[in-house]
Amino acid sequence: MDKVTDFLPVWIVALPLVMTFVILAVERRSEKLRNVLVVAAAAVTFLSVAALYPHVIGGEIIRLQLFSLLPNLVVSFRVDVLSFSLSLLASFVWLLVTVYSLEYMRHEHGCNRYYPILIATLASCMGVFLAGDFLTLFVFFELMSLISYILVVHEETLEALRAGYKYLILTIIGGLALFFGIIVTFELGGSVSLESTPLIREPSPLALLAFLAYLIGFGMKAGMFPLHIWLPDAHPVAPSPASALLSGIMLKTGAYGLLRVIFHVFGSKLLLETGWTMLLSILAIISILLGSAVALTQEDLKRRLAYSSIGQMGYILLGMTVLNERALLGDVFHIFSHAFMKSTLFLAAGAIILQTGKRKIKELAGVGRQMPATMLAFSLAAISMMGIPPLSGFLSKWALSLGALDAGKTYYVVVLLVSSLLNGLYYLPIIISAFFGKTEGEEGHGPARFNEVPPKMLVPVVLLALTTFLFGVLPWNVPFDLSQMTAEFLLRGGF
Amino acid sequence: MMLAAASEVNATAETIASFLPAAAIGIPFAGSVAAFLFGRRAEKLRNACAALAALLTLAAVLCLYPLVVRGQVTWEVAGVLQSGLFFRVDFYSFVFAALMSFIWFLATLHAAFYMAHEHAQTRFFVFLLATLASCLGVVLAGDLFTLFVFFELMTLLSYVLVIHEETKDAMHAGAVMLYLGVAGGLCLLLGILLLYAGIGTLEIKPLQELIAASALNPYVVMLLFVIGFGVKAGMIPLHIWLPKAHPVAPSPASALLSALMIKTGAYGIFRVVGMIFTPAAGAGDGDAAAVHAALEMLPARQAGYVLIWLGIITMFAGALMALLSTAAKKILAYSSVSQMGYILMGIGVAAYLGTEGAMGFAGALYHIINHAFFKAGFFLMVGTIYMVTHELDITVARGMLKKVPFVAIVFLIGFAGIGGIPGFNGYVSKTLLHHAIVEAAEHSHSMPLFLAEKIFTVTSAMTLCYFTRLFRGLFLGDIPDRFAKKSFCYPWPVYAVLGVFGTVILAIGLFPHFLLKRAVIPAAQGFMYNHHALEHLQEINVWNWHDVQGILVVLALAAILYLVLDRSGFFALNPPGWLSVEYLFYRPAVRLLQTACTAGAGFDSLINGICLQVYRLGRRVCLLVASLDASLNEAYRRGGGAVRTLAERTGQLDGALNQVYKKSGGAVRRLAGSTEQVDNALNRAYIKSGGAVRRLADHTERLDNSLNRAYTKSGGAVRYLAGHTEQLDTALNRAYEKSGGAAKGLVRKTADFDELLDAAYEQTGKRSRRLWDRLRGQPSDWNIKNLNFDALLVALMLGLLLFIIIYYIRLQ
Repeated sequence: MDKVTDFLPVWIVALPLVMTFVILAVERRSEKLRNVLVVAAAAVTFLSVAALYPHVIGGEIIRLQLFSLLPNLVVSFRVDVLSFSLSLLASFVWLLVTVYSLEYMRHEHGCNRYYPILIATLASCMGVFLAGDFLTLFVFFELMSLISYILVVHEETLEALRAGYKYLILTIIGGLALFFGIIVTFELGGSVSLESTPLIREPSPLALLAFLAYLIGFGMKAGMFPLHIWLPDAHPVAPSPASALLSGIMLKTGAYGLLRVIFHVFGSKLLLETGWTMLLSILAIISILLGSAVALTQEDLKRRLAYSSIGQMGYILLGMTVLNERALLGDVFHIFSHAFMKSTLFLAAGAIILQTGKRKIKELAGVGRQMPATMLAFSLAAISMMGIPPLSGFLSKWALSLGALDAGKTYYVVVLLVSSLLNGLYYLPIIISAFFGKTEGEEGHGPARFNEVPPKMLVPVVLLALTTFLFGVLPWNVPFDLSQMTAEFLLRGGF
Repeated sequence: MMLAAASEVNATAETIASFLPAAAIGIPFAGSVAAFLFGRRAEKLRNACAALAALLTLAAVLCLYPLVVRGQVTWEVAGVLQSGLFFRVDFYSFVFAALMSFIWFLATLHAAFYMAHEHAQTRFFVFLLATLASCLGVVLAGDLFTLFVFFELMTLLSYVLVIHEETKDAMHAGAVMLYLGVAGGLCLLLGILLLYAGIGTLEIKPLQELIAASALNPYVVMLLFVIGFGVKAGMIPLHIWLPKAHPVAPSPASALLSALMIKTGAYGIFRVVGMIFTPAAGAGDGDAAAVHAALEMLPARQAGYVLIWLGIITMFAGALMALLSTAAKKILAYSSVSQMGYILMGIGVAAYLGTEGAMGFAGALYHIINHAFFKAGFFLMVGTIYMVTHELDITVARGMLKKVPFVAIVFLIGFAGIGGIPGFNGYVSKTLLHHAIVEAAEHSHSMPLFLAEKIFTVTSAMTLCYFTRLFRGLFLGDIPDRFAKKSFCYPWPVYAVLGVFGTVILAIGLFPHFLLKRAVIPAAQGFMYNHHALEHLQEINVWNWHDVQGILVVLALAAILYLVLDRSGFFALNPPGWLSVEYLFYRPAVRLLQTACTAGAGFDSLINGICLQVYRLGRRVCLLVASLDASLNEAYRRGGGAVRTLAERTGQLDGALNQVYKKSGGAVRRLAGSTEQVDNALNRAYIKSGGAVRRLADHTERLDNSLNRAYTKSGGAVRYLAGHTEQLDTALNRAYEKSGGAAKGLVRKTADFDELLDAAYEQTGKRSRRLWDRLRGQPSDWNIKNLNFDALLVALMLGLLLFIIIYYIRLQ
């Protein structure tokens, strides 16, 4: 292994972190330079992650130990196929969202605060995915949670502040629970590194307690019932690009953490013996059904999307409790596809809000004729969300369902399909009214007022929407291959 | 020769790889894109492009013919959707594909003129072609996965065709269709998933052996498939979208929806129940008895029985509803439901009779072909009228015979076809279906199936009735004024298209065996029907008195029925809304769903509320603690204040004391000062008095000296003088005595003063002594009891001592 790739993980985390301060220093002087630097930081991060591809595809695990805090407590980085998949996904979506932000945020206040925070969050997000032990992960996890608070409250309305406060409180609760779990793991396993797995080999009340603590800590982030309550408040109030990242990427850190907990702390064998994942699966099923059902009753577009995220994260949480290869494949692939779909949806919603000022679903009639490209992207993502072929949402649903059936859990499939139906019931009316609906008093078709957003915003939206299509149809499907590798890798025990 | 043909059918022939299936699907997709691109610039070019694409598709499908005669055509598009798309075309698929692409081509041609005055034509053509592609995908699919992919696409794409008018009715119908379609699609998906998880393959071929060996519940899986496809097929009670959606769509689209798209549902049910759930080795070879016994136990048999009844109910209820409707397209839509009932019944019989079910198979497939032609024809005909009248209610648009005689003639041909009049196409398929149901009844000797056969006959009569009504309403009677002056002129391709339909209906009707032998029987290849049944089918001749008699009975029944219904005012009957399936089942279901969602939202806000409440509680506890803290602070503050006040007071007291001390000090000092002054004065007095005494002594000395000098000076006269001196001495003695008396007086006075002081001291001393006495109390009060007690004790001791002494003395 050559030295450069050895230090690439640190570089990936450090670069945006340093850039944050550079941007802070530069932004007073030149907005243009700031914008260039922001995009460059996101782009270089993405490329750096992508540069790891050949190593990861070769089954290599890059390890780097920085320094040790205490004996057996080392701050370290580690890139395996799961870390790589998620960091690749995150940095890709981040890049597109950053480009989108340039235009969207032009109409907002506080850009000089927004951009450095955006990049700092990217750094901490990368840190979460690339951490080599739970302590490092915890540090970056908390960092990310706290920094993203600023993104949530960006609008500074009363509503936003309130939602942000709720988010903050739950983040702290989650962080404390997580910390407890890590301490117990260290006590029982003697280490919190991802290298020696599983860390806990014997079932004990303390181990169960740790499992519950992890469940609270990561489940809170993943929007798991009943800790989801911050999500439908926080995601809609944030500026749309931030919502896209919160819903599309940052929720996934919770799922990522739980995957690590299931396969690195406890190991699938122990969990299968004790059946502790039953709790997670029950909560996931409630999340799925509740999220989908409540989304149906929401009037606000972004709020509906946020509830939909709860349901979709439920798919991911449910998938990881099945503990077989096919379900895991579907699970990781759904992390990908949900990130693509939900970012598309939030970015498209942002474009609509920016261009027409409409937030309520009732008002969206005819938007599809004004903004055909945006709305087509929205439709593509929404139909993918319903799991209709040939889009990526179908692939993940297919794999998840087959995995559940392999494990003999038919009712999981029924839950997934009922949720798909509900998805249809709350997404299709939006699409229908956008393209075919008539606003009050409109007679027939007026000349379609073409009112599309500028290309800087349109390109990321359309690109993301295309990914949901291409990564469904294409035989050459990087996310799918990575998911396949990850599933095998995790079931092997993380080596 | 017949026998050879039959055996050829059953021998699963070679597998040919050809990209034609993919091409047949790709061409309309490409055409759809092309139509979109041309759309805005050139309408004519776009229409031509659409028609050309449909024609090319037809050509591609027809190119398959020589291949499917030899065997199965397969093509795999690996990797797409990871599982890959797999196409396999056997003759059965080919029949559907050919039918679809042919009628689609005709409808596209018609649409080019029909749509000329509509809005959003480009959208219509784009989706029309895309729907063709997905329909072809469904029937050309080689596995259920591929089938499902295209099935879902078809549901979504056809939605746009249905809601083309964008009226309120259209939107409502479209929504019902879409949601039911999605729900059906999910049932289908669940069935497919279960099947795949159970047996590990989704290929469309006989798989009963695998299914029996797996842990699958075949009934559940079949039920899911039947629901999934049944929605599309318009099977009661899943049909409710059909009578809403088909009438509101533009007529060419209605024609395709009603004639072809609902057939994909029938196709799917047939593939699943009639093929996948049948044993691969059930082709009538080997031990007949064992095979027969195995077939009796086949789950598909039970499913077939259920399907027969679903078909019967669907055909009857559809016909009944058609009788009660007045809008032409609605009658046609209900007619489609009813005709799908015939087809489902045929499929049911085929599955029910197992290897003997060739008759049901042939009837169903033949009826699918026939229905496609006459129903597409009907919709295009009424569409042709609609192009001018924009009204199709048979109570309004009347008397069209005079205006459009050509359409009326073609309509009559179609009428005869659907009515099953000998010489028209419906006759042969209905006869086959009738044979099938009779066979099924005879085979099982079950009374209900004989009843089913009677319902079949009655429904055929009802079909004639509602078409009579439709024809009478639309073409006979007087032309309303508003249409009288309009010119009913159409371009020649419209006539040509309608003419083709009429010709085909007539041709099939006149030469029924051609299609039977060239299309229907070869399509049975790959299915499990035995030689015997196929041979029987080969030799069947529909031109016999028995079958014609059957249709005469139907005609007579229809005539009586029509007269009775017409007279009784049955046609004007409006069935109460609550009787509809929609009212009885779907509305409550939707309401249940809504309630569930609202309950979910309530639950969610409850959770939220609980969290907030917990938070508030926590805050209140914190506030409580804070206020406790504050009150403690207050207490400390107050306590501190008190202490400070106390200290201040003490300070003040101290100051006052100081003051007092200072003041009293001053007084004392002053007193001391004055005492000092007194002392000084006394000193001075003493000094002064000392001086006087010294002066006196000096004076005395000087006197003595002068006396001595006088003594020295006068010696002789001393004696003389002695007398004088003695005298002087005496005088001096007297003077001394006098001064001694004065000193004694002074001494006495001093003594008096001293006594006075003594008395004063005495007095003060007495006063202090009295205080002391008071403090000590009376000596007599002291320990009087103790004294007594002591005395007692001493007495006792003494007594004891005395006693002891006496005792000792006595002892001695």
